[in-house]
Amino acid sequence: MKTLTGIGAMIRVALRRDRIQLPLWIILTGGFLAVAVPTWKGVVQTEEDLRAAIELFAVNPAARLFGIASGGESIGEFVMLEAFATLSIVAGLMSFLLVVRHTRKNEDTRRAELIGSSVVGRHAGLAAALILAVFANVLLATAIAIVLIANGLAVTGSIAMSLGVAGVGISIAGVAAVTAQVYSTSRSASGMAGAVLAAMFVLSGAGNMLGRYDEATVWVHSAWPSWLSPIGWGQQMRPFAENDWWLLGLSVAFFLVLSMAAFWLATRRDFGMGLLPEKPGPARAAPGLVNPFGLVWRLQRGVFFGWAIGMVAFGVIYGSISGEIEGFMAESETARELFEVIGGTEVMLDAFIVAITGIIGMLLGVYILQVTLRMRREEADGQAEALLATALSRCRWMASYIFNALLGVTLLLFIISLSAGLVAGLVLGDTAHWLGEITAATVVYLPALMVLAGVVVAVFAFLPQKTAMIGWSVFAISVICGPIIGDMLDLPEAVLNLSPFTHIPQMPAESFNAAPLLIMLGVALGLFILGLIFFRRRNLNLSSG
Amino acid sequence: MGTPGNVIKISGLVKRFGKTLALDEFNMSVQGGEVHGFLGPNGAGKSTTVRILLGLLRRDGGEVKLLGGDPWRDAVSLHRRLAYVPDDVKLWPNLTGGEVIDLLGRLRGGLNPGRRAELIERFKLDPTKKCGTYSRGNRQKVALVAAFASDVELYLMDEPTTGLDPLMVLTFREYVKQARDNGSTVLLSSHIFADVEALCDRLTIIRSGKCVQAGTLAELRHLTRTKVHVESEKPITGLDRLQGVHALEQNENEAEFHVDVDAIDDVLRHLVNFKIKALYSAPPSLEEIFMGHYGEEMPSGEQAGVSEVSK
Ligand SMILES: Nc1ncnc2c1ncn2[C@@H]1O[C@H](COP(=O)(O)OP(=O)(O)O)[C@@H](O)[C@H]1O
Ligand SMILES: [Mg+2]
Repeated sequence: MKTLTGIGAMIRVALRRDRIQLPLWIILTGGFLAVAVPTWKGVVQTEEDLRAAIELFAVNPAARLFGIASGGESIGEFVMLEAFATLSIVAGLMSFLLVVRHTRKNEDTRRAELIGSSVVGRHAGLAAALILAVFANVLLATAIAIVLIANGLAVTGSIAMSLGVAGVGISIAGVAAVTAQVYSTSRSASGMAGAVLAAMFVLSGAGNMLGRYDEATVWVHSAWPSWLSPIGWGQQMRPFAENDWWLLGLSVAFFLVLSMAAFWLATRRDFGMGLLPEKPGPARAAPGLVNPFGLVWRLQRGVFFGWAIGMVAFGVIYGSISGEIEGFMAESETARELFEVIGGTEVMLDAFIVAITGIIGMLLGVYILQVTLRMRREEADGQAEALLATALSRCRWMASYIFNALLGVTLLLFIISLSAGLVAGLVLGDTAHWLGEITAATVVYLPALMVLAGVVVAVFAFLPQKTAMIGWSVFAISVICGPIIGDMLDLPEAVLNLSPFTHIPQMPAESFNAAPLLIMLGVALGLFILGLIFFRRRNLNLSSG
Repeated sequence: MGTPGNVIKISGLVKRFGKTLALDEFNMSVQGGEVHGFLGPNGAGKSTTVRILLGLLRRDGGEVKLLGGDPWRDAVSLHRRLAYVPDDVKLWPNLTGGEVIDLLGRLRGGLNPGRRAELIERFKLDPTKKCGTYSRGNRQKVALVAAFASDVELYLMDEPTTGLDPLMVLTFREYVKQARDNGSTVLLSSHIFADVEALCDRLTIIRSGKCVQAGTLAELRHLTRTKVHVESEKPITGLDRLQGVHALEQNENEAEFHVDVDAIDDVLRHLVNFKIKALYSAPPSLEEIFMGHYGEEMPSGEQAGVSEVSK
């Protein structure tokens, strides 16, 4: 096959370029599981606890988004319910980013043009990317299986579950191989593959929600949409129960068919082009774009809307579970203890609200970082150079990022409060009450999130090259020393106090306390002012060339 | 418009990046209404100078005046009066070229819609395409359209022709001349002599952060020498005694040298005597000019294209 000449070299180049990224995906996923699985095992220590927890998953249609009950007998099944959908999405993200990176993105950056001119067949690049994707998924599955087996879960089930995850990964790799031929930019190719991944999740989730629950056997029979999705195929394998291996064949076939389609499409287009030309955009800027605030909003509104959808979905699930939480807690002693530690109250529903708002509040730190770290990216990439050479002052430029981050995160806090409050009101009655409780418990996180933004802004002014590294580290430390993980790890008071999240009043279990919030507000403002003053005084850190 | 006197006045400018001394007591002055060439090999310090003029970088020593102000302190008000085209422009991949032109124009203080349309047409730019799909040349065009569509007193352009195809370079030159005719001042940096030669009234040559030459084109005539490579059947003699021949290197039947424009005729007449087999001529690269002049090694850069003249 002349079209595959040079594939060995291509794989070596690709492996070299991914030598940090790929291990990171695998180690972080394995690490997450290594931390999470013992926690989950802690929640369901007795057979009754286990059955109660799995029944909760089975009766609650929102929880079925993530998986289906298959007997209620093994801890592995509980882990499958908790983790499979998330792991599938991680494998999917890893796979489509990898394939697009080594195909479409190569062409975008003209790297492949150089490769294309030496002795490399026209299909070698795509084939190398697909082989690498399979390899990465096998590694990921191995890591998952090792962690599961090491935690004492059934060997066959562990292998079935991890191969199910890899099945989703290679399926999406096939999808990305096709989108990389169809679209002419890596952004569109990744975007479309990401949309297909989301659709797979929605299909499997919808099929499970519409399915039928058989109480006697603790078994959810999914409706047909689940069978259209590789995530659904993985769940229908029912690892730890039936281990139906043949379903893996569906994923492999799906991958092979799409790969062949991609090779065929590649012969029908010119190098550097997609089958579909990029959609033309507006020839003139809308009035809202031509000011610094509008520009930043435009650059990251996609990220915001992604979060907004996530917040609505999370709110619906969280609101709908609230109705069953008392019952579940009544049955499971260990879960009850866990929530008491996290929530610091014996009123289970309050403890539940504290735990969930804590997770959301801290999670939104990621959004703060996504917006504020963009400053550094634009400085390093060079867009800031063109902007700051216009009559735009550095202060206004920086302020537009701060303002965007804070406005966006405030909206997200209200969006989840609204969605969770309304659904909780539907389930529990007294909508106004729950809306108020949940909104208060959520919005108090804003000052801590502002401190995080302040840290990034200040670091950016003093140590621009380290902004991302320090920003993410501070976030990670704040989460680890924060109210949930910190409490579970039993960290000493002094260490817990390092995290701004520790100082948030844990409403509704605790009463509102303005003092720490005002102090954090002051700290945040101080950091912003420091950042604004010292960014004005430093050299821009521009690439030379 | 037209600003009388010095639009840019730099004296004793020093800039360090860690241990690298990027600018070492650099001097330059640009007068109002002129097109000023800023010539130097890669890494000489051109971009650094321009970025200091824009207040993007802070100087470590020396004096800099721009349009009568201090580029660091008065950055924002000065930027209203100038337009900048960066070296290797980076744009936002998901905005269209048209959006970026409007954005940069508006933030600079507004642009002329009629000229905007005309420039887009002349530079053959598709303003509805996303910047992520543009080649380097097209990104360059976006920055050029945004700059030329603003009526400003000063244009700072850092290697603006890199990535443009030859036809577009001609269009570019036309607009630079038009800007000068309207009384604006243009600072044009480049590492290729031909770019500067076609447009500039005066020029400054920078090398390793120092100003090595400054003056009008006529004063720097030696830069317009031609590089000649000749092979002959008979051994070549007597070249070293001719007027206007520089940097001669030869062995028996082969010679390479630089020749002043007004001496070309004499030299060719002389060469005919040796039965020429091949003759190539090309404008020398900046590096070669400096080597001829100073007998020093230069860090390697691009070579000028070679064109065959006869045989
Ligand atoms: N941000 C920077 N950090 C470190 N060194 C730099 C930086 N910018 C420029 N330099 C160095 O300063 C010198 C001048 O660079 P530059 O002004 O970009 O040259 P030119 O534009 O003439 O090619 C070079 O040696 C370059 O490596
Ligand atoms: Mg430069």
